[in-house]
Amino acid sequence: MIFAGVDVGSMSAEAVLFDGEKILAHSTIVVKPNPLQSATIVMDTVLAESGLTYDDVTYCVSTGYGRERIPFAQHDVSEISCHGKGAVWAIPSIKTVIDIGGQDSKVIRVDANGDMDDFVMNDKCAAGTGRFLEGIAKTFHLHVSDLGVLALNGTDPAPINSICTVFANFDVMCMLAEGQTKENIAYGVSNVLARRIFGLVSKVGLVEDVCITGGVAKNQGVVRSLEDIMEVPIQKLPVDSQIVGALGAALFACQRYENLQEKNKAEAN
Amino acid sequence: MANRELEKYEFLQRLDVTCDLFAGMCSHGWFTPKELFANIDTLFDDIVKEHGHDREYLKSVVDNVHPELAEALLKPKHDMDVVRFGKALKGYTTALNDHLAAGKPVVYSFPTLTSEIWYAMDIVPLHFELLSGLLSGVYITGVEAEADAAAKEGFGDHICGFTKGPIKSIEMGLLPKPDILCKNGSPCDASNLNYVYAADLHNCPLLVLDSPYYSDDRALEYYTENIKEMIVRVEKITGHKMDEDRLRHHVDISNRQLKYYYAIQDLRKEKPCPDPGTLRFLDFGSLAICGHSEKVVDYCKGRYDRVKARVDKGETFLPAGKKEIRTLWSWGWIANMFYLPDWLEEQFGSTYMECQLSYMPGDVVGYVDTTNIETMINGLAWRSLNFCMHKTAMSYSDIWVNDFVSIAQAYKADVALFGGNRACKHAWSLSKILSDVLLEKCDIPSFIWEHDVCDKRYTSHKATKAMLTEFFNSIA
Amino acid sequence: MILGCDVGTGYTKAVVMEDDKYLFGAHVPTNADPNGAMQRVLCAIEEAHGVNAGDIKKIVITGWGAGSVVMPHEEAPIMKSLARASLWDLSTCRNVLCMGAQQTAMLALNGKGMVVSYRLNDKCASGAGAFLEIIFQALECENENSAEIARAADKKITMSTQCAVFAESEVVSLVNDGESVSNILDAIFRSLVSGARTLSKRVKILGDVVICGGLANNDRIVELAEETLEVKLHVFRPRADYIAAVGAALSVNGGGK
Repeated sequence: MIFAGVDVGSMSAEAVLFDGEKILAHSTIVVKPNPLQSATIVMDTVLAESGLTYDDVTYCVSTGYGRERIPFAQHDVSEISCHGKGAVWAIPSIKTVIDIGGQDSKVIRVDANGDMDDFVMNDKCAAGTGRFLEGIAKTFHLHVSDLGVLALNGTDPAPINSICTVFANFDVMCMLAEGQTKENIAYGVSNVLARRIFGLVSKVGLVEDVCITGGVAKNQGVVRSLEDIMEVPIQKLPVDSQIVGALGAALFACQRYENLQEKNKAEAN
Repeated sequence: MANRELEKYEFLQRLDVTCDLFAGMCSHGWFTPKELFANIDTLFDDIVKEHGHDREYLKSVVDNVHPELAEALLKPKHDMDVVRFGKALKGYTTALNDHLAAGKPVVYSFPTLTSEIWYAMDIVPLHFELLSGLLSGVYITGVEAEADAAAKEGFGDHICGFTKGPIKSIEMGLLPKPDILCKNGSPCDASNLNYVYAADLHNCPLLVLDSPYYSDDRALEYYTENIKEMIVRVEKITGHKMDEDRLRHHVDISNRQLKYYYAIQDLRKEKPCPDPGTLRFLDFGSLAICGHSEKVVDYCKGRYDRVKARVDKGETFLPAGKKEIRTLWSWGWIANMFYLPDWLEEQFGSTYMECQLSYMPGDVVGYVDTTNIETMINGLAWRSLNFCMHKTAMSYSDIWVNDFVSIAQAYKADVALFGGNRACKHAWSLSKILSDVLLEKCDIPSFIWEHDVCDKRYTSHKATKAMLTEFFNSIA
Repeated sequence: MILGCDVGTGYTKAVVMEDDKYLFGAHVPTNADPNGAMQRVLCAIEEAHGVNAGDIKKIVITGWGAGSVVMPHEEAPIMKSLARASLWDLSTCRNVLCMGAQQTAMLALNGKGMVVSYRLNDKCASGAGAFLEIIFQALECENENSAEIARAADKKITMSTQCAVFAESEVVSLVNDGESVSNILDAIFRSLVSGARTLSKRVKILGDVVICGGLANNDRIVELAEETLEVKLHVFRPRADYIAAVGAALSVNGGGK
């Protein structure tokens, strides 16, 4: 049997195919303005790459933007639940999931089953999200994926005091003009992001083990800064950090299908 | 004689060392940090010899002192008062040492009720909040690590710096475990939370003195009853008994101490103001150990004598040619930037009139009648209801506003600085009302800004100086 | 001739005054480089008006970057410069609303022209000029024609986000949904101006209000500000964004009141 999970985010969309025990395939695309379109394209992609069709999919769960309106999904689940579920499947000891996305950041406390105990989200302010890093990368004329390595090469984090992304970016420009190195600025920027995230974490309480999901988890500079400020190690996921939501959706697909089978059996008897 | 018991708890050890540093560094006639550091070994020798501190520890503590504060305290306008304060506080720390060494009950008491009642029951209480304040003001690291530890556990940013540090410090072994906690049930969520948390964690009784908003006759009667009940409970829990003669002894001391306190307040109305503002923090400290010993009276008398001498000689401590800007601190001093009044005096001629935290309305409070135990408890209750914070920040806004309009007029203030602690919800609810009224009724412009009273990382010293520079340059 | 300059976070403005009369001015982007900006704006003045260094008796600088400028100059505090210049243009002025690249400030003056209170919105970019520049880029329009475009709005949209950075994405998705640039710009302008309204609650309006700063060069923004503040706004002359530079130049004679 093949279970599918699809997750439409603000910047990327992911799809995961799961056979009940392991991940069969996954795909990531850049989103289109229309979430339905994004969901369909990423699903088409992952199926095509696996030589499968929609008919081969036993059950599909959708999450993220527009999740209620995905026609090929039988059910939808919140992204918070999906991130929790996916993270705990990947590393069973996980109790705190930090999801840093393109336009929001969340901290999810989960139990041993990956079900949510508590969560907190910031979607009002760009500082503490991937957008903040994008802005800085633009100022450096770099791709956002280059920022992590740059930060790791920094030795002395440049102090950035502004709370606002726009103003922090301005501070960065001034520092460049004053001759501060990109490495140290990137290090300082990672610290700013980490501080904002730590503020969120403190609201639900930190319980180990901790992992990060979402695109920003690939930024090693941010990982280091977070480990420094939280004073706990961040567990490295054995799967791509960006697919955890879709993975969770696929896990829910499997779980829901099995529950429905049980229910049908019981009703038949 | 070394205070060995205090060495078990680093916060108390550091408090004890601070007393000796204050008394020591300012009594040799060294007026600059350069002179001080040139002679630092002499200072260490003296302190080690007289007070038995570990030399390495002493050195580490000195390295941690805010350099700007050291510079300010050494100045002749402050030095001898700092020495007297150091000695007065040392009397308290030594008494605390002996109290703990004898296994007597550990009591944490919110400072809006002065401590004569505790001393009369042979108890030397501790005060979380003031300790945080002093450590933040004197030391670079302040209570930041302890505040971060509290934040890690989920305590919000909105918890006051005065209590955020202590919240974890007991668990971290920096302070002794409480046997009793005593708190005014005032609407300061941050402090209430701290005391409730500590009581829960350490499974000890929390005695609450319910504080009415008003301070009329009915309120006084009610509050007095609360205090009497508290005394009965303490006697029951600890076996220590209230002693009328002892109470009289300490109240007599505090009455004499306050006579000078009120007189200094009055002298600040002179032009130019004869009283340097950095000492206001120490004045508040003297209220925390109100009535403890003659040394506290010495401190207040010394303060009064020096201020009076300036008035009599027509002297000013402001830099030559600096025009005086009489400044009302409509919230209070910033614990983490203890030296700020000195900086303002030097830069802008800004003199410190009164502040919400340290102002004690002498004509309203007066002195405690020592006739008998009834009159004394009643008098102390009355003083407590009019104590800073209790009367102002934890009461109706019109009281604070009216008080400050009166002070502004009586002292002929020119500007107001409302540097508000971010956690102080009550203060923030009236910051604009207060500044509007001061502008309308007294033609006084206010500068309002936010900081964390014990955490310099929230609004840095640099940022505060920049903002105040812009303000003073704009209104002059 | 006195040169008054305002090195702002967005633009550096310079004006030349003589006997407290405005002669001419110029402006260049600061680009986070106060010294470079000063050089460029001096060049601009020279080229456009044939003035050279020898004609300038004094240089007075105010604004964010004033402290970093190395060439010999005097400094003037920003708030006082705003007050001075406002009174020079409108002697009955009691309030100044300055909407700049990164912060909006509202000042109150007493009857003697002294600054008695001011409040800044400088923590959040959503009311700032820098935000607007981001939006213009996203909509591919210029500041110059934006007022007219915004006036053509036929529908009131409400932005769901407060944040300048998220607003950019919201604008892109509105465009994708087929919303007109006019309606979007109008919504953005209204959102910008609402910050000024909040500020005006914190600093009392005591009388005539001068509006200034780069955003006040835009007629439509000024109209919307008048609507939301419910007061008549007097746009600083000769140019809204030159106010602090004028104020700095005026400080030389200790007057302008």
